[in-house]
Amino acid sequence: MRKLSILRSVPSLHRLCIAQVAYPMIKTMMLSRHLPIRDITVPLLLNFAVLTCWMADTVNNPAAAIVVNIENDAPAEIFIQVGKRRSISRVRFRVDADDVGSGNPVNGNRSIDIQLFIRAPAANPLTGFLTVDSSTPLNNGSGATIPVSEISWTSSSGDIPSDSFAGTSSQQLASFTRSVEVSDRHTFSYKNRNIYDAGTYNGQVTYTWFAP
Amino acid sequence: MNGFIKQVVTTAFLCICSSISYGVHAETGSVTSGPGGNMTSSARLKLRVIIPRFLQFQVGNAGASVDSISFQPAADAVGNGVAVPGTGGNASGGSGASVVLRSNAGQITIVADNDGGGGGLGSSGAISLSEITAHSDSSNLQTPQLSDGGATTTTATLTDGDITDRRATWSYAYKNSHPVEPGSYDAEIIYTAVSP
Repeated sequence: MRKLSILRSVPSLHRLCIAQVAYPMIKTMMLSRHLPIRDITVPLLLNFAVLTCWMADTVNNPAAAIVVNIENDAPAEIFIQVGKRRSISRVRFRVDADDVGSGNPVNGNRSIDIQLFIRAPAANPLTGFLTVDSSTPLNNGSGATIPVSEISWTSSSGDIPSDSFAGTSSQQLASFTRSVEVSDRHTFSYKNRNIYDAGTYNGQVTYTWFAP
Repeated sequence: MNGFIKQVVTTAFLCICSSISYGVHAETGSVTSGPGGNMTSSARLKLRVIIPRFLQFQVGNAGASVDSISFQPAADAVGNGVAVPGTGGNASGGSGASVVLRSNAGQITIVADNDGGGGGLGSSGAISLSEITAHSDSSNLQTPQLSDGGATTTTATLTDGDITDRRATWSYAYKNSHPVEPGSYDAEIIYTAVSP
């Protein structure tokens, strides 16, 4: 019954695709015991097949409309991305030998994109807070350190305003009182106000995006 | 049991396929919750600052030109033993030179040499460089005393660890201890800051 209802609810091209390709393939795999015969498997695989056929149909019929129904009881969600998606991004500051501790700021080698979103039902709105932990100083591996507060940033959009790291464990950077998606780009700068031992100083800050 | 494992693997595969766009990776965090639930997600950013080894030493004005301090006793005071202040320097009313020493290269030694070839001012031996006194207003950045032979040294006081960040004014005077032939007697003092 589940199979029939799914087939009735999809367009003809999808039905053809599922009936001629997906369903026989799934049935063959089940009969050959490559897939378990369980009630849950069929609807799951057919849903997957519907999605695949819909994508193929969309490519072939680019003018087709897509209707998206958003459920009012969808779960709340927050999302954060800082720099690259799959690894930790790094910003590097290289000070010239004739400029060490001069007070002339040194720009980082790249800007960092920061993306946030928070989504909650209108009946139960959430406030999202963005904080950063910069309490652990940069160190050169030989005992010398540079406080992270020596690094500042400018914001391209102002959503997460320009500021300096405070060198504390929970510095609040921004808050948003409704469902929102934020895209900002931060350009970092080393203040270069003091003389430090020669070396390569590494460190890390952690952004926390939370909705209490 | 075998069927159960297949079902678990199949379900996991489908879940992965359907959640690719919301996958949680190292620097991406996505959290869902029911209404009213606390949600926390975090992402990290690495920072690196590269500081080179360096030594900066300046006596007098910055730039390629060499500052000059002159001492000119009055005609009725030549050789009377009363010290003569200088003119032309960038500090201490012309008698001095501002000095900056900055480094992260360890203990710095300052060496004073001269171009007199051992003959003092004018290279003739008429006026020894020991006739020129030098004084620093900072005990952390003393000035080497001048001599005809050169190679006199002082050691700057470290600020912290291998770091030196000192400033001082070095002032000079002509002792005017004895009369000499009239004329101009010149010498160039070459100061060198040396790191380990």
